[in-house]
Amino acid sequence: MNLFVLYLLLLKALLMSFTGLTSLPIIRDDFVVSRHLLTDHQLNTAVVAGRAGPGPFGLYMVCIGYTVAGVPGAISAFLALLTPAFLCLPILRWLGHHANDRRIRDAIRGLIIGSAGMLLASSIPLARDALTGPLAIVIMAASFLFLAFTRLDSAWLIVSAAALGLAVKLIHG
Amino acid sequence: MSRPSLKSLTGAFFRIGNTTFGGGLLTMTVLGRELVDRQKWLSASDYELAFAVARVTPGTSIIAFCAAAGWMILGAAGAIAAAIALTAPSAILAVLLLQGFESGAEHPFVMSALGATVAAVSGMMGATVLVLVRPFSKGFVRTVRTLLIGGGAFLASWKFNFSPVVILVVSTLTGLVWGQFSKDDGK
Repeated sequence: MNLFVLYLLLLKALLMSFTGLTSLPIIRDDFVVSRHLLTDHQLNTAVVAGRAGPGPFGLYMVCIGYTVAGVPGAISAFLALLTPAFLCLPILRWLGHHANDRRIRDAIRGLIIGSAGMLLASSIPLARDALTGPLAIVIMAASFLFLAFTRLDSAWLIVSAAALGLAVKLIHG
Repeated sequence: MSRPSLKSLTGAFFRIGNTTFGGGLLTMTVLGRELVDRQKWLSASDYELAFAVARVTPGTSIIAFCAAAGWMILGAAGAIAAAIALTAPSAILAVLLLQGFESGAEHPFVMSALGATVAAVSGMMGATVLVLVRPFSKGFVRTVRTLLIGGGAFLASWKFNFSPVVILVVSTLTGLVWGQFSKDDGK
């Protein structure tokens, strides 16, 4: 597949979405339904791989690029992923000049609080999946408390949780 | 505010971006603790501005946040370095994971470690909600605003499946209108 076309298709999906996975229906329409470049199974595998590791959920696009066109496709997809981010700089410059305007501050705070509400909603399915037993409950509660009330680096929480999960598996088999 | 070297800035985004699971909002909150509270490279109001701009920029908001925060701290070099440091290693890992999934390698020890990690991420997401709204919830009037906007956004997303764009627009407008009718000075 032409790498520039791949870049443009992914960029189009990104420009029409505002969160990691809201681009998915557009991607599916272009890559699975219209052009038959991917199967639904390949698309799902790419999404799972993109979400299984750290970093933005949008990384599944790099996996799509890799599936469609190998390493050059992954690089093309990575560039598509980065491109919209730099659109924020002109907005930032404009807003920066008006940052002390009370109306701008009120609007920004409304947006942040709304984002928090949305995050709470999207955390419910994850919590349901994660609550698999007493160990998961302890890890979840400890992570909540450490992140909310201490300055402990979040990397330590992740590393400790993974080590604990591994240790329990080693002990209980 | 102190001004870091490009290497220090890249290191901070690399470390946090590639060890924080759970998506953009969580990563933005953890980066806020690092950039505002620990390193003091950004003021709280600059952080709020970068956060808001990232949320209204199309595409992946955490990468836009990195570009915005990097720009505020060290200009164009900071923006590019922050965005690449946060994204490139995770992208390589995602491709490696994809290869692993395709070859059917789901080792039980790896799955156990991943399960524990998902539990940690889930707890961290709850904490992120608290960390995000805490600065805006001091006093009765602000707490009512937080409950109204945050609770409304929660219900609109969870119960009624509204589009994120619609929810963010309504939240932003509600914040604006609330400010016009409230005696709160907004600081």
